[in-house]
Amino acid sequence: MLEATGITVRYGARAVLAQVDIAVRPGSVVAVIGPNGSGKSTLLSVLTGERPPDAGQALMDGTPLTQMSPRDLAGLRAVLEQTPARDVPYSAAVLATMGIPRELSPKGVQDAVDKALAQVGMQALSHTRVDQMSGGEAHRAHLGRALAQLWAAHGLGGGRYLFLDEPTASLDLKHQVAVLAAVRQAASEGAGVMVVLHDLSLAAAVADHIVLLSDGRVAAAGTPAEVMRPEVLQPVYGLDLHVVDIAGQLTIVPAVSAFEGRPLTSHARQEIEDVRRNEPI
Amino acid sequence: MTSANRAIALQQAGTGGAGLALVCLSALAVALACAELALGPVSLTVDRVLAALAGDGTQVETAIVWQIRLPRLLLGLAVGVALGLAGTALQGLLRNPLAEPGLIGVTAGASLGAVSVIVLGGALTGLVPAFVATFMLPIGAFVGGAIVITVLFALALRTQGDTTLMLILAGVAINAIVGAAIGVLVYISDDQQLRDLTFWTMGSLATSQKELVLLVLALTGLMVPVFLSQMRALDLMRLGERAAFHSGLDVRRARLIIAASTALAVGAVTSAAGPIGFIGLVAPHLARLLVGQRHMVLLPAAAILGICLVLAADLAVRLAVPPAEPPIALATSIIGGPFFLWLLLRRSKSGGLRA
Repeated sequence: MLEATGITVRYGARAVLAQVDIAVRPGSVVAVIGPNGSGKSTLLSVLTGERPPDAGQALMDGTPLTQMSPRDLAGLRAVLEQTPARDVPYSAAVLATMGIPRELSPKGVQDAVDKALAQVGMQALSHTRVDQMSGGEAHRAHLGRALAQLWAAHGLGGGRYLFLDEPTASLDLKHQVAVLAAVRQAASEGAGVMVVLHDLSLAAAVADHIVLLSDGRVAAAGTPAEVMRPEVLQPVYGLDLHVVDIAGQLTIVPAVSAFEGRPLTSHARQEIEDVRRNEPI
Repeated sequence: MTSANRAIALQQAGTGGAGLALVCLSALAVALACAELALGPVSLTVDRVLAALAGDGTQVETAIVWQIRLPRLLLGLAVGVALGLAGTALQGLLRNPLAEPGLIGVTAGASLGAVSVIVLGGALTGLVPAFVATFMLPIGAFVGGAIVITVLFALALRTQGDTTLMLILAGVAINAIVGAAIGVLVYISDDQQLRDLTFWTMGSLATSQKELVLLVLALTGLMVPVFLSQMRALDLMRLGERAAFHSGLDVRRARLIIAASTALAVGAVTSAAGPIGFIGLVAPHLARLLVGQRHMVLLPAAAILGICLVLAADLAVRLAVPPAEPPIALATSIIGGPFFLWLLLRRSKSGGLRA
C-alpha cells in the first residue's frame, strides 16, 4: 500500500499542500480532482518520490519514499507526467523499452512492450518517431512507456503503482476511453493507480476512490457517490454544477447559469432534482 | 525470428545498420592515421613507416616517425575522441543539439585554466616535483572547463523552454570574459610565456611535450568507458529529466558524471593541443546522420568521426602550404563555422531543431 500522511509542501511561505493524507491500495484506482492550482500535480510529484515533502511522510509498501533510490522506485511504480517531451527522436517501441529495468529477460521485455503498445493503440505507430507524431499520439506513446515499465516491473514482482497526471487531456474521446480501460486493467492486475483528472465525469467513471483537493487541502474524500455531489463540488469549484445519474453513471456538468455568471436559483435547483428523480434517461 | 531475438532487436532498436557504418568509419580512421604518419614535407611509404616504427628505419625516418608524427597522431586521436564524446555528451546533457564545447565557452575556460598555469604556475613549479608540473597544465584546464560547465548548467536549469539562445549568448559572454582574462595574462607574461601563450590561441597538434601527450592520451582513454557507461543515461535524458528520473535514472549523479567527464576530457586535450573548435559540433551531428540517436552507437561513432575530422584537418593544414603549417583550428573553423550557420538556419526554418 502507498500511504501518505500529513504531506505538506511549501513554495516559500505559501503552502501548496497542507496536511494531506492519501492512500493508494493495490488493485484500486484513486482519482485526485480539484481546481487548477489546488496542488494535484505537486501531490503526485511527492508520491512518485520526485520531491521530498517539507513535512509528513509517504510510505510505499512500508518503506519511506525518501529512502528509496530512483532505481528502486522505478521497479515499483511507473509515471506519466502531464507534459511529456515531444522532441524525442526515438520510435514508440524504442521509447517503451527505455524505462524497463535491465534485469528483465528479453522475453519479458517483449511481452511488456507488446502489451503496453496494444493498450494505447500504438501498434501501427510503433516504428514511428515520437517527434514526428501529433500531440495526442506522442502522449499515448509516453503512456505506452509508463505502462511497459509497469508491466515489466510487474514481471519482476514489482510494478505495484501507476501514476498518471492528466492522461486524457490531449486525447480524443476514443483514446480517453482506451486510457481509462488501461487504468482499470492495471488495477485489475493488482496495481494501485493514482490518476489526476480534470474531467469529473471520467473521474467518477474510473475511480474507486476520489480525493478532492482545494487550496492544498483535502476538501473531501470517498467513493464517487460520496464526493460527486453538488454541495461538495460547488464550493470548491466556485460555480453551479449538475450531477446527473445517466444509466448508473455519475455525470458532472456545469450549470448554464455558471456560464452567465449567475448563481443557481433555488427554483432551478429544484427542477434539476425533479429531473434526477423522475427521468430515467 | 524467435521472441528472444526480437526482444534483443527491440532493445537495440534504432541502432540498425550502425554496425556497418562503424566499421566503415573505423577503416577511414585507420587510413587517415596511416596518412598522418606517412605524409608531410618528407613523404614516406607505408612500409618505411612500419620499418621506422619497428626500429629498422634510417635515422631520419625514425626521427620523423617517432619524434614528430607519432606524438602528433596520438594527440590527434585523443583530441578527436575527447571532443567527439564531449560534444555528444554535452548536447545530450543540455538537451540542445547546438551545445559545443568551443561555442559555449568550455574550451575557453579550459584555455584560461591552462594559460593561468603557464603564466602564474611558475611560482609553483619550484615548489613541486617535475612530474607534478606536467599535471598542472591539464589540471588547470580541467578546473577552467569545469567552472564554465557549472555556470552554464546553472543558467540552463533556470531557463524555461529552448536553451539555445541562452547557451549561445552565455558562450559569447564567457568567451569575452576569458579573452579579457587571457589579455591580462598576456600583458603580465614574459617572453617565454608569451610564446607558450600564442600556442594556445592557435591550437595545434604539434607538440614537443611527449609526456603531456601520453598523459592526455591516458586521460582520454580513461574517460572513454566513463562516457560509454552513461549511454542509457543520455538516451533517457532525451525524454526530459523528470521522465528520466521516473524511468529509474539517478539524474543528479548522471549529470555530475557527464559534466565532470566533459570538463576533464576537454580540459585534457585543450591543455595539450589548445582550443580546437567545432569538432564537438560536427562529429556528433554527422554521427547522428549515420547511425541514429541511440547513444550505444552514437557515442562510438562520434568518437571515431572526431578522430577522422581531426586527422583530416591536420593533414589539410600540413599539406596545404608545406613546409609552413597553419594552425589546425583554421581548418576546423572553416568547415565548422558554415556547418553551425547551416544548423541555425535549419533551426529557424523548422522552429525547432531536430537533433
